[in-house]
Amino acid sequence: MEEALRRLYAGDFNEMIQEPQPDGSVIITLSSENEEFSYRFRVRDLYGPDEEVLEHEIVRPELKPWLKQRLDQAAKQKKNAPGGK
Amino acid sequence: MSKDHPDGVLPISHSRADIKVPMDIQKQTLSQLDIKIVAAEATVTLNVAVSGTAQVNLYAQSIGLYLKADWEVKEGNAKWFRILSYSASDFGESNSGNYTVPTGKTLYINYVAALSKCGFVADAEEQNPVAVYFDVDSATKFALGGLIGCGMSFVVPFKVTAGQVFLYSIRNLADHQTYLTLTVGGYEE
Repeated sequence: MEEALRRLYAGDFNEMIQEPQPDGSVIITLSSENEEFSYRFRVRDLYGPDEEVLEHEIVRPELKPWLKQRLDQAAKQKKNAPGGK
Repeated sequence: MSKDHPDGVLPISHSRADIKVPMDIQKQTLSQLDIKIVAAEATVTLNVAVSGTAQVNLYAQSIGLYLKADWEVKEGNAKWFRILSYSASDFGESNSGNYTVPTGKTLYINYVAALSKCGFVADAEEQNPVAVYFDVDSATKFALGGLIGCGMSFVVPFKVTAGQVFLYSIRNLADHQTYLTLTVGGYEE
């Protein structure tokens, strides 16, 4: 069983997005609040006897480099600010 | 109970800087229990299991009281189910998602929001009637409709137990093509 499917059956997620496809399959994205990545997979006959995962990938949102630089800078400056921790 | 208080009254009064009061009361009848706690720093654990009236008054600068649903979200047990539609639906067509509640868990739904937006500029002035359905094990248990979308919060959560198949769907009831989006929220424990 693919990890994404295991999570679906175990309920180990906070958000599930389903995108119905013209061919009857569905693209599912599972994400959790405490993880920075999501599972995105396409499955045919979801919950049916012939259930099959057709595609499977782990999606990691990439923070824009310029945003990361600013966030790191703000966090660093906060430590040095009056009353900062 | 102290022999000094045969009438059943046990007054506790102490004025030292620091006191500890372990208390364990297990009686058929507890006619009165008035407790007043005033302290600059305190750790208070109060377990009350009575048939009758239990009144708890809390006065502090940092006390948070959560309703059940809010507490489950805080604990990381929130569940969101979303349907995103990237292709237009004709009249009567629906988009749906489903979820089988895992073994040992119960799903509670307390929020639903739906949007139906027209697919073409020519229909921009039209209303987009839409219907939302919750089916549990293939039986419709809940329906809601609106003219461009709809939504509501549940005073009593919609409950789906372990092993049951929860199907949530949104249907286009307009005479033109629309894009359908549905969000269902709740928690699982």
